[in-house]
Amino acid sequence: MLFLLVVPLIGLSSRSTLADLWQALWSHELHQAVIVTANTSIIALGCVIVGGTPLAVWLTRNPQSRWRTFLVDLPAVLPPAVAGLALLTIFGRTGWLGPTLSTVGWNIPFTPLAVILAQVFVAAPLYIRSASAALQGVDHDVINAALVDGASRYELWRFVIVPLAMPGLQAGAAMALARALGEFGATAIFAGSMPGQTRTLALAIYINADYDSATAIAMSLILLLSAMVLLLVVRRVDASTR
Amino acid sequence: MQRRRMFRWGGSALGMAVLSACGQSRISAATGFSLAVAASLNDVMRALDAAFIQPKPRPAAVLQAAGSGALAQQIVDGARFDLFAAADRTAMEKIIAAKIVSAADVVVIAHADVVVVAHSDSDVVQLSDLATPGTRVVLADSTVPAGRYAQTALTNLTAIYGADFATNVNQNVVSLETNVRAVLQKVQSGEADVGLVYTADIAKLPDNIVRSLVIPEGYGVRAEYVATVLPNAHGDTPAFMEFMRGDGATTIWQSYGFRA
Repeated sequence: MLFLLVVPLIGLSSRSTLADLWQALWSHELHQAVIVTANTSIIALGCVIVGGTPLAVWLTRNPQSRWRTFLVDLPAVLPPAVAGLALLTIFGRTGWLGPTLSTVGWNIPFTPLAVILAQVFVAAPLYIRSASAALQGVDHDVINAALVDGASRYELWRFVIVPLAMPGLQAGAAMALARALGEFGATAIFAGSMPGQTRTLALAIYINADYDSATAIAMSLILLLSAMVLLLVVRRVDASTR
Repeated sequence: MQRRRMFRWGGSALGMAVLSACGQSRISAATGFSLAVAASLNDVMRALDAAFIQPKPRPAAVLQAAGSGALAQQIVDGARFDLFAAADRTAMEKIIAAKIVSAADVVVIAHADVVVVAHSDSDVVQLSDLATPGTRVVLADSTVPAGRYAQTALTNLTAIYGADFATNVNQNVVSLETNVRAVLQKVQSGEADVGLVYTADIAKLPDNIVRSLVIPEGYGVRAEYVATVLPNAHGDTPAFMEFMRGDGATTIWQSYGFRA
């Protein structure tokens, strides 16, 4: 099993010659894909944190409520293609909100916004789950002590709860970013594949894999590297909480 | 402890069974074909396979329908099929270069015309509308045959609609899809206004969803579908190839929008 997990990753880096890879690293196509991916997934991460944290707090309020967790987790385990179709049925031109949105000039499919929506949809549960676990893990005695000492609601969150939950929040954010960076299925269906607009690294790899392998491999290595960095962030955060 | 060990053995035995099943998935006699076909050939191949019952009945073929280039790459990477049918020769050249088949083994099986397909709710009613700013055009990526044919067609049409036509249309492109079926899906769903596909892709579609705009004679592009029997193929594959190219298959090809 370990073999199956590790060897393809090593194989990836040995498939093309270094010279080819080096050249591919400087191709316009790769740069476009990197820029699209970086922009969309960082904005997506921002949305996930801004929108996901209150949701995580809401989940923490009533940890017994299983259906809340269920609803929040659902997008994470949904096959990405299903997520893409689901987004189309809402935001598509003929979807529930599509016609309304297009009257105010918002046509979401085929735009970077569609990529971001797809990423938020699949990545948010990872953050929310981790964040709500972290918030739940904050010791009630500490919270009570702060309240006894006269901390305001804002101070309680700003100086007590958030700092204590920070490792979990960071780990959740890293996992969500990793998921957003690699998003493929929902993006392909909902956002299309336009170089410089909606063609993320994952989509560009898919298009190039059957055509120009060095480019695809160079792109794969970039994604692999960023996944490793994010994993290290999670590990480091994990270790610091022990 | 004892139970745990049993579980572990059970697990690996299951693993072995799965592995050996994978290894033997191509036993001769009563198995169906395994066909790697260009996305646009999906439906017609299913029909051809169903019509071909000689020399003896067999289960329905297993079809892998995708972009021709992706399939060629899979074959070069060791995927095993009985037959590979591509939408142009470029994809074939990849497996010829890899010495899996020789150029002489590749034969033409059918033709299809490139056609412009518009969603029935869209404002696109004639070819010149493709260049109207704001029209959402979807094409196949030029890494797949449908994308290359589409670009040729646009270039040809500059002779009628002016030198800027191809450029203007390309500026309206909102997505370059990985295969021709994905192009059609985007138009069918109404997300895109118009796309370039093959006549074969829309032959069986109801008229109320999309309308097709025919490219005038002399400016169109005719896609050439080529196929080859792959090494170690099912024993009946050459006969199936004969059947596909023979008179008996002509009406099937035509009913799916191809020229046999």
